[in-house]
Amino acid sequence: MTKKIAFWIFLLGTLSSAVLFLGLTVDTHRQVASLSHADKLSENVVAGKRAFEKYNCNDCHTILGFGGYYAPDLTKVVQRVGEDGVRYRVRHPEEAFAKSARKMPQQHVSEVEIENLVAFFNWVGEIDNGDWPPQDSKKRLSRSEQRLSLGAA
Amino acid sequence: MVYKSQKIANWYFTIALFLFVLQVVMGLWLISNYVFTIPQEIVNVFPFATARAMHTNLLVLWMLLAFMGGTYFIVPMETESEIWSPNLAWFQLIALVVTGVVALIGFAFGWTKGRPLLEIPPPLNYMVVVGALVFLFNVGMTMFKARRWTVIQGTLLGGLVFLALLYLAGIPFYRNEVIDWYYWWWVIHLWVEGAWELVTGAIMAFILMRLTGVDRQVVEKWLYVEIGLFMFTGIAGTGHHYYWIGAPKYWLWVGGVFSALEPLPILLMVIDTMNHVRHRHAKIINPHTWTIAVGCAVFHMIGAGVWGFAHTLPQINYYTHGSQVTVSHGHLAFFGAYALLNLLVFYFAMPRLRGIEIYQPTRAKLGFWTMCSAMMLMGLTFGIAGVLQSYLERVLGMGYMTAQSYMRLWMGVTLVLGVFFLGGVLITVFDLLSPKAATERLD
Repeated sequence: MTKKIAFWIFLLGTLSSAVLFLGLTVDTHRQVASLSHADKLSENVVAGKRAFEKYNCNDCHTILGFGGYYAPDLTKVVQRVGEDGVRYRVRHPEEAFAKSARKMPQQHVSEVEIENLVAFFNWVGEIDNGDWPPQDSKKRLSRSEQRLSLGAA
Repeated sequence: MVYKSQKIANWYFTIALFLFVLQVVMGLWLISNYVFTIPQEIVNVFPFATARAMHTNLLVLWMLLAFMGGTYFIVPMETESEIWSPNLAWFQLIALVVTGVVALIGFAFGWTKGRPLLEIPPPLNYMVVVGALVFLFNVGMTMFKARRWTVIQGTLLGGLVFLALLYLAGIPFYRNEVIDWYYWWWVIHLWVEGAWELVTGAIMAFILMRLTGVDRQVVEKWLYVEIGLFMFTGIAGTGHHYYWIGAPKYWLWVGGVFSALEPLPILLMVIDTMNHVRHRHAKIINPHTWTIAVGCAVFHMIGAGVWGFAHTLPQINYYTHGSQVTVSHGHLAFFGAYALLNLLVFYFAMPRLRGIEIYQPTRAKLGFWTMCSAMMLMGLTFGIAGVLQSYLERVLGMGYMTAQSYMRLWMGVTLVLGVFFLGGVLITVFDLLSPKAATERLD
C-alpha cells in the first residue's frame, strides 16, 4: 500500500461517515419533534429543565440514562413515585431519605421551581425512547403482579 | 532539546500533573460516598454532584493542558522552528488555568451550567473558547511560518481544530432534553472517539518515530489508515448514545454496526506499534518510555475497544445503559487511551527538557505498574458492581437502593484500589517533577 492510497482511505472513511451522520442528524431533528411530543414542550417544562440544571441534579441522577450514577434514574420518576412523591423528595430530602444510606442535599428549591420540575419530569416520562429504562417498562410485571402470577400458578 | 520555546511545555505538563492528582483525590471522595453514609449536614454543603463536577472537569482540564503542552513540545521539532509566539503560549496557559480554578471554586458555590462534564457556565466557557483560539492561532502560525508540512502535524492540528469546534455544540441552552443530549454527545463522544483520537494518533506516531527511528513515510502511511478508520467508525458510532433518548430507531442499527467496528483502528494501532519496534533502526535508549507506549496501546485496546464493544450492542446496552458498567468502561478507557498517552509524552519530554537524555527508571516503573494494576482491578470491580446493578435493578426489577446495597462491597474494594492508584500517581508525579539521570547506560 502506498501513502497515497492510505490518504484516500482516510479521506473516504471520514467523509462517508460524516455524510451519513449529518444526513441522519437532519432526519433526527424532523422525527424528534413527534417522538418527544415537542408540541407539549410548554414554558413550564422548559423552566423545569432550567431548574434541573440550576441545582445540578444531573450530576447525581441520570436522566434518559446519562449523568451521575449515584442516585436513581429520573426518566420515568413521575410514573414510579408520582407527582407528590417528587414534590416531597425535593421539598424535604432530609425527611424522605432519613433512613437511606444515601442522602439528597436540601437545596431550598422554591415551590414554583418544584412545580416546574414536576412538569419537566412529566414531559420527559412521555418521550418515546424505546421503552427504557427496563425496570420502569410497562411490559414488565410489577412486584405485586409477579406475586399474583406465582400464586395463580 | 534543540528549541528554546519548547520549555513552555514543561509548565503545561507540571500544572496538568497537579490537576491529575486533584482529580484522583476527588475520585476517592466520590467512591467514599458509595461506601459510607455521608451525614446530611455535609451533603447539604458539599453534595456528590459538586464533587463529581470537579472530578470530571479536572480530568478534561488536565488532559487538554497536556495535549496543548505536548503540541508545544512536538510542533517545534516537526516544523524545525521555534514557536511563533511564546508569549501567547504563556497568556493562553494563564487564561485557561485561571478559568479552570474559577470554575472549580464556582462549582463549590453552586455556580454551574448543570450539564454533566460541561458544567462550566457561560461567561467562563467563552474564556475557554478564547484560550483555544489563541492556542490554535499560535500553533497554526508556527506551522505556516515554517512552511514545513508533515502528516503528523497536520493530524495534530486537524484534531485540535475539530476538538475546539465541537466544544461549541455544548454551549447553547437546548429547550428539548432529547436535542440537548443529541448535541452533548457531539462534544463528549466526538471528542473521545474522534478529535482526541486524531491527537493520540499524531502523538503516538511522533513518539514511535523518534523512539524507533522508523522511516517517516512508513509511520505516516499507517497514521493515515488509523485516523481514517477512527473517523469512519467513530463519527457514525456516536449513534450508540442515541438508542434510548427518544431519537429514531435507525440509530440502533447505525450505532450498533459502527460501534462494533470501533475496536479495529485501536487494534491496528497496537499492531502498528509492535511492528515499528520490531523493525526499529535506532537503539531505544529509554526502555521505560517504550513500555508506556505499549501499555497505552494495549490499555487503550482493553478499555476503549473491548470494554466499549462489550456494552454497545443495543440488546446488551438496554440493560447496562447508565449503570456502573459505563463507569468501568469510562475509567479504563480514559486511563488507557488518554492518561497513559499523556504520561508517555511527559516521560518522553520532561527529562529531556531538564537536559536528561537517559533517565533512571526505577521510580517510574513502580508508579506505572501500581497505577496500571490498580486501574485494571478498579475496572473489574466497577464492572462487577455494574453487572450486579444491571441484573438486580434492570432485569429483576429490584429498587435502586436495594440493588446498590448488594454493590456496596465492590465499591469498598474499589476505594482500597483507588488508594493504591493515588499512590502510583504520586510516585509518578514526584518522579516526573524531579527526574534522575541514569548512572549507567541502559538498553
